[in-house]
Amino acid sequence: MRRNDVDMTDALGSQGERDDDPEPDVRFSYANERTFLAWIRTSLGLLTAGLAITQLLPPFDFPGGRRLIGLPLIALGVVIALFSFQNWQANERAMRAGRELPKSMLPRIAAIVVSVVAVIGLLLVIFEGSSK
Amino acid sequence: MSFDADARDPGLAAERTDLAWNRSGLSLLACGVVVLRGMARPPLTTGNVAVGATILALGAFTFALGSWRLHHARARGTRRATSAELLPISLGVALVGVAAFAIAAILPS
Repeated sequence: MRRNDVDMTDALGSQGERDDDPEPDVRFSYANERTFLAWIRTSLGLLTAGLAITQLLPPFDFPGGRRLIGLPLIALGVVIALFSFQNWQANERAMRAGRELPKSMLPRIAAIVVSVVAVIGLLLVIFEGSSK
Repeated sequence: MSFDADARDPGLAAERTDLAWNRSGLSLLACGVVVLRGMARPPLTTGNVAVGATILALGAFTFALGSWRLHHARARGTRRATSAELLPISLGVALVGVAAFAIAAILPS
């Protein structure tokens, strides 16, 4: 793949693409776009879950229990929404320049936050049973 | 020199991407419904309905943007997503998230 610095700076956000420039296989760009969209859906799922937990779930015995698990999920959703675009852009630039794809922090962040929330949820449920 | 993507992968990558846009639009609609269901309990306030309606509109916008994009992709063969197309989705969802955080943190539940 040819390195083309002019193309790199022009590639993103440019509406008028030029067909005479060598470009990465369009299927890779489609895959990158679908990955972006998959992260967006993950973000929306977290937002919806967080809202449903805080607004619709019957309260736990532990005060503020619903917010304790709902708010981190919503915050994670916001972080993912922002990083999803940043990741897409970094991948697109790397493909244009023929560089290796950058590593993303998102899977690790998502795994840690969801795991911690799951443990808190488990503790809330245990607390629920023991207080009755 | 563009890739003849249709010849090597007869429209399937574009179709998968189209479906991904549809799923994303549906997720936004689901999010809007939960917001309306959770917040829009009596008394209905203009603010509650406005937030829910905004999310639903963003969902419809996502559908429209996706099909518009892939329509161009089919016609041109090399049409790629641009920042101008994806950034509004990213920022829009982030804003919805900030609103959701405020709702969850402030509103009595």
